[in-house]
Amino acid sequence: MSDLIYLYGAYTIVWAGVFFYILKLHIAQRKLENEIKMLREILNGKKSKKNL
Amino acid sequence: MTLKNNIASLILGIAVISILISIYLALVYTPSHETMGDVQRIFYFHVASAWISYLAFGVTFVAGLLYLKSKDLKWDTVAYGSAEVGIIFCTLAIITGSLWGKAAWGVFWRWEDIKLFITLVLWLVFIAYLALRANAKSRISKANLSAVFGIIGFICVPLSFAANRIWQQYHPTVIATSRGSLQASMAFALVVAVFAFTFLYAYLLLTRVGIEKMRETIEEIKQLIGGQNV
Repeated sequence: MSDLIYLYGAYTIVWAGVFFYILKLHIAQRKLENEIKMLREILNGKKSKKNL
Repeated sequence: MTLKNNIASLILGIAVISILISIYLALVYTPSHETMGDVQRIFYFHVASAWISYLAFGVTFVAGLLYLKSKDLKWDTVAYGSAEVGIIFCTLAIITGSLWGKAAWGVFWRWEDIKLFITLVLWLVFIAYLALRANAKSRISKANLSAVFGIIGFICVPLSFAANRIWQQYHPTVIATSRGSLQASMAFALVVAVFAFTFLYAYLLLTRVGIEKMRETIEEIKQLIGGQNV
């Protein structure tokens, strides 16, 4: 029974590790998408000002 | 939704379903090990993690070669993304192996075991790979240095794989020709776990490469904005 703690520990670490890595990637992805959107708006704003 | 997003979602879907099946197989379907008992069930995801780390570092190796040959930075992005995912799986393999070792041997680590030592060196080499990239000055020097480092670092993969077959110390050999071969149900659960982790790896690599491409897009837009200020 005492050895089962290592089994629980191993499964917890594997799935928590995978979950947090996916979460980290998704947060980074969302942040970059927002930054690209913001920069494109700035770029388009500058282009339209230039055309005027 | 773009085609790339659809492919990534499909791969993630296959990974999630196969992971759920592999957890069921590992914890319910397979019998307890005769000598080690239930703690042996660590084995399915420990081996799958180790295999995926080998695959990921293999992809870094191939992408590094392709970069050096073509000088196309997309291969550097693939190599870098795969190295990072490989480190995640290598870390999981080392931690789960240590926990299994504690239950089987009574200690978390055996420094005298060459398989364990080489695997730790492999992990350190790719940690150094990431540190090297972080400190390189230009994009090109970053790509050149890390391609060479990734190719040399890959040498540890076949060494790590073969170490327990050559020296036969404490670490068991999972896929043996005759001695100590697995029961059919255990082998099946292992194959499903490796299949599931392969799809998980593919999803993580696609996402990681996508993030690097977005960073490059941001740099390009910033340059365009800067250029219009002049």
